[in-house]
Amino acid sequence: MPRPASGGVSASVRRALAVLAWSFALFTGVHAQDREPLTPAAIAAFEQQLTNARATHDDIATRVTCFGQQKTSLIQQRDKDQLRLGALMKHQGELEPLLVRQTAEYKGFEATRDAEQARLIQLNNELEHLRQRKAGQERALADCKASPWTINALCDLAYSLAHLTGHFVDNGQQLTDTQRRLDIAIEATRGAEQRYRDSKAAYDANTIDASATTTQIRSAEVSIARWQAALTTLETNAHDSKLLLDEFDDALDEARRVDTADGKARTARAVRGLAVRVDEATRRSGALLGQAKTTLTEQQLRSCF
Amino acid sequence: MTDTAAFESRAAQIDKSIDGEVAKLRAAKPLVLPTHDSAITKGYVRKIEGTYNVERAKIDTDNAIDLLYIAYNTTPQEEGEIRVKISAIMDKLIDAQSDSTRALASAMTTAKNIITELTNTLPDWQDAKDDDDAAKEIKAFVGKDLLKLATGIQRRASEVEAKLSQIAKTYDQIIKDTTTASDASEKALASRLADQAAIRAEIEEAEAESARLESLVADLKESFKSFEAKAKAYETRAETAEQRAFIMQIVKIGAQVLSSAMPAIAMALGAGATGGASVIAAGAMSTLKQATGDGKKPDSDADTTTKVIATKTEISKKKKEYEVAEKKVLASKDKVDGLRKDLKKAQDAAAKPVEVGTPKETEENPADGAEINGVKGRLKDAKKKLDEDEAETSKLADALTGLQAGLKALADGLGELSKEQKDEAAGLRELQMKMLDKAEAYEKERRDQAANLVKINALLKGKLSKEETIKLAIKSLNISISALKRTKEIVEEIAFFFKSFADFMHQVAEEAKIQIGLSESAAASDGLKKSRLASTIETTDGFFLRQVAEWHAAAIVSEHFNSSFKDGHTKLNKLRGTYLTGDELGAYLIEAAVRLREIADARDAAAKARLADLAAYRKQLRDDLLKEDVA
Repeated sequence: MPRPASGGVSASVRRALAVLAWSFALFTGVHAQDREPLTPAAIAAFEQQLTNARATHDDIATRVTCFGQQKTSLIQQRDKDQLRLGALMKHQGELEPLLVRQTAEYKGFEATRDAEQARLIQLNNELEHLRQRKAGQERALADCKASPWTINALCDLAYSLAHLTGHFVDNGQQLTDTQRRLDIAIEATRGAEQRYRDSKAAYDANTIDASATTTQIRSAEVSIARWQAALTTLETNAHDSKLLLDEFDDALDEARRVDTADGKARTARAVRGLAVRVDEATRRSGALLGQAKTTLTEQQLRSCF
Repeated sequence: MTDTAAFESRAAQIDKSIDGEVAKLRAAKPLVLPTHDSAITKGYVRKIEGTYNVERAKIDTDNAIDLLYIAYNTTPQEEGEIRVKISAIMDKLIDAQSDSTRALASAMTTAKNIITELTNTLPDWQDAKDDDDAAKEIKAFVGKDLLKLATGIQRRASEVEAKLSQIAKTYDQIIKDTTTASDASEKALASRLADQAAIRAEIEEAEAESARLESLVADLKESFKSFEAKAKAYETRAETAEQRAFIMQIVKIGAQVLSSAMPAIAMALGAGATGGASVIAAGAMSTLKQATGDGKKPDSDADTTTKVIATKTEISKKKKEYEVAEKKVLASKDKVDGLRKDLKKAQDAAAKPVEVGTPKETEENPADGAEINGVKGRLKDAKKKLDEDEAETSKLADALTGLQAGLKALADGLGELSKEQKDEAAGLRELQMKMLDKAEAYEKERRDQAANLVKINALLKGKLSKEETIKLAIKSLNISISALKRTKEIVEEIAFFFKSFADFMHQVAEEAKIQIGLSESAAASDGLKKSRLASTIETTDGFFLRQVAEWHAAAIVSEHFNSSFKDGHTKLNKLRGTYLTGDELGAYLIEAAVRLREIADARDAAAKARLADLAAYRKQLRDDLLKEDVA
């Protein structure tokens, strides 16, 4: 059952201090009679040290289980994101060549449209030039006829002679041809413009999709990286906790097999060795707690301490 | 099975060497227990290691971690399921390393505890042996203290064995998972290779279509230019003819002016002039009628132009098909040649007469065997395919010839006007219009085909981009698969080591069990007679010496491995937290390929060195044993 972080941490610290105190008492008892069997006080101190060690052991065991649950949850979320990323990357993989194709297509149609527009401008200029020439010639003929001292027939003759000498050119046919070309060019430009617009619209639609996909990919990647980093931190704490748990397990197992009442010096030496081990394990437990507080997330601390 | 025999021989040699060391140590009075660097301890270390080199554990673990990281990062991100599989392997390997560290730490602690216990109990055993009533003291010691000691050792050795066996099982599962991931990667690779072949075919088709359209567009453009030039030429000629008409008009006006002054002459001249003008007008009208056809010609000029354009388009298509068909013929020919070579090779190998180039080359014969008949069968199919391809090419060549002839006929039959008509202004204008019509038709077709060309070139670019992506994925997957396979090899060796270590602990437990039996038997006996006493002393001495050496060996090997796994666990755990994306991932692909090569080379070199080391150790044992036999 997860307990509040502050309460759990304080309890662990209190327990560690108590163990150290008991350990000191045990040492003074054991060292005083190094070659002697254990005194009842030393046995009692040792038993108390073991009781505290068992409580610490149980705390760590609960924490290790909690770490395991956290890890399973992180892995599930990470894998879900990995699958999501896979689907997004597949979609992006389909979009990329499509965008390359659509870019080339709309740029090609854009170039065609530009060429058609340039031709249209050129033809318009040509037409305008021809019209101006024709208007100029007709204006000259009209001015001639409007003059009071000229005969119309002579104006017509002069007009024809001007054509003959190359001063005037009859561009009526040219005007017709150019107008026709212009009409065709207008039609072609319309077609090119339409093709360009359609292809650009298709490209733009997919660009929006591609942009959204890229954003989602970044988000999935960031999410995976976060889960992986959290797993790494959690694993370090979980592994250290398991090692400590093993140490407590082994020391307590050894302690179970010691017959403190057998009165042998060999047993006294074994108990002294075990007391040192339990003391060391308890010290490590405190250090591990400090490490967890600085490395784990708030949520992990809340859940497991 | 030469290797197995050699391995057993080596194991037997180690046992014999250990027995020799026990005898030597027993000779010392009082009994001195072996230390971590005693010869007997080294012998046990060799036993645990088996064929594995513990010294290489760190490098191997590092390599396995690097390989797994390579495999993960070189698996394309879009293969989400495979990435999940590989990350699961990484998770399991991290767990396995953590569990291995704990199991080996536990083995070290157990070894330390047992060595301490044995060392602490040895003085009691020495006291029992040195006692005046040795038989009684020894019986008491063996029946109580040693029994308790041996029982504890057996239990703890069995616990260590169970932990090691469990870890070996975990590694076995990792091996299975690695195989599954590797299989999935190979499937993905096969799929990409199929995609690559398909996209290549599509690219080739698009390239051929692009070339066809480019050629057609160029042809249409040329036709357009040519007809436009013709139109301009007719326009120039028409202007000249029109100018002649102007001259006639001026003559007419001149005549009218003169007629007002000289009516008689004017009447005479006027009739002639008017008649001349009428002739011109009549001629012009006639030309106009002929030019417009009045429905007399079977095909209009516009129809002919459409037909020419359609034929040209068809020719370009057939040309493309012809080129593709020619390529197929070449490929089929290569296949037939290759199979003929295979047939010759197979027939040479089977010492059969070579039938290549003869009608028998495709005739299957039961006496030829499966391999030759298999090649003949494939050759028959390939020749059939070649015939079909050649027939298709020939058919396309005929079709092309027909189309080109049709095109020529159409071009020849184009409605050209007669010489006289061409010299008339109206006729020339008509021709100019016709040329412009044709130019327009070609230009319209050119525009349509140019639009298709834009589309096909864009499609080609898209396909080339996709091909690049597929190529990269294939390269990545190849690296990933190699890395996974190498990882599997290393994990197999680690798993084997744990099994070997577990077997060793089983042997230690068995030795303790035997000692328990002996102790119980001694406790139950009335008293130890001389020969049984001597035997009990020998076995008990042996028990102390062997157990201490065995647990020293277990501690040494555990310590070696533990440092590797401790670092390995930290390294893999850290790498798992380093998630590569974007440019880093692209750059890593190059780095990964180099690292993979380095690891492969290093492992090959290490395997050779290990074989040399084992051979040297075997020789040393043989020499030592020979020396002892001589002595």
